[in-house]
Amino acid sequence: MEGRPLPEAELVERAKRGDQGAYGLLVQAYQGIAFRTAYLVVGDSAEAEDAAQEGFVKAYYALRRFRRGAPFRPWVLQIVANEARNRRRSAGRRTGLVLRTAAEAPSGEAAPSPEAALISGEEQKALLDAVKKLKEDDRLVISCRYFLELSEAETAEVLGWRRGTVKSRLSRALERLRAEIGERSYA
Amino acid sequence: MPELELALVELGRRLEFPPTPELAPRVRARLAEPPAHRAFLGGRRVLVIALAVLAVAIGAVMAVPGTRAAILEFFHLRGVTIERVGELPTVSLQRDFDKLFLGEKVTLAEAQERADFEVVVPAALGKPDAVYFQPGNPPSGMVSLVYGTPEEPRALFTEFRATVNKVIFKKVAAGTHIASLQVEGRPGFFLSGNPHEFTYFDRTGEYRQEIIRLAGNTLLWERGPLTLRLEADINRDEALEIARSVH
Repeated sequence: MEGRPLPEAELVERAKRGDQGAYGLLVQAYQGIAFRTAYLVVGDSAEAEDAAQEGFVKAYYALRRFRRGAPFRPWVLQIVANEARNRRRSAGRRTGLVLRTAAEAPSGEAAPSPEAALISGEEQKALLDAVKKLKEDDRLVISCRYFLELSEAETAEVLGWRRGTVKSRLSRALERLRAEIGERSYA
Repeated sequence: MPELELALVELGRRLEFPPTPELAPRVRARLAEPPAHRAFLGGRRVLVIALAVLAVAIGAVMAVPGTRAAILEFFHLRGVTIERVGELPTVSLQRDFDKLFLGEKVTLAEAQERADFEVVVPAALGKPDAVYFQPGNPPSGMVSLVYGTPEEPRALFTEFRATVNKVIFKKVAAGTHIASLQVEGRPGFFLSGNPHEFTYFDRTGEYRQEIIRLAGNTLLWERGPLTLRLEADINRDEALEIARSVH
């Protein structure tokens, strides 16, 4: 669906007219990125699942506010992320980054072939550890831009920041990350 | 893209996120429900109907009635005290559903109108089959939602606004397991195992007691200004899922 704006716009228009089947297809297309976004915010898979589901339901009822022709993905991600932030707030906790790299997986699980890697498993782990040590805002902006590969505009929507803020916080976060890993191999 | 950024993208592609759940069928199931009773868990499995008898405390008890058994432990939640005793006294088992002291049978709209708080519903359970309102005691009134038929109740959800010094008193025998937990960051207890007993004052202010023999378990928790109680044949995770669907 991504990269094919016409069918998506058509699905959104149908969903707006009450076609729940069409909306189901949109959910299917974006549930992965929505769930991972929520997961990065709440740090718990059951909560992320609830936040993503609730976000999609709320988005459906908010469709009449959706601007015709606008991209659907950042719009729905913003609603899901907002739901996730509320859950995290009501739980009164700050979440760490609860991810690991495939390289850290217990033996027996599929690991990527070492040749394909730009950086070694060990370097990946060191980099992930460094990201985990960042402050929450820094970690979130890095996660959105590089781990979820969201655009700057999407990152702004998801985090509820202005685009300029995303830009400046991202460059600051990268600087801190460089300092954390000691400038090693990354120019 | 500078090398560090490339390395981060590569790292991101190697990260292990939990598997994405299949949300589309559940979202569609929820959209198909009428808005007030949208099933939060849509496609998830329906609760097993296995309760023998359901009952609930309706009143406020301010003192420990009687001293039949040694008190072993206390657990406190706002508006509720759970007392663990050596053994439960023998009392009759309440079987008549409409005599369960849940109060008057009303509609959900009437309950909302009369209760001194915003009535919440566990969307995961769908539309309640019966709604009861007990006025005056606790002072906010108490709303009970019953799911299933009187012959085969499958869940009971009760809500009231707790006050500091008026409490429902719940006794459990030594064999009942009490787990302290959090529901959306707020304290709660999950009671499983042996039957529990409620003591309470009924609407005339008279002290009553009731043994509740359940195939099911009970989750008691706080949400906003309310104290909530869910009783059904469910395990702890299922209870928590239903609790999270309350809105």
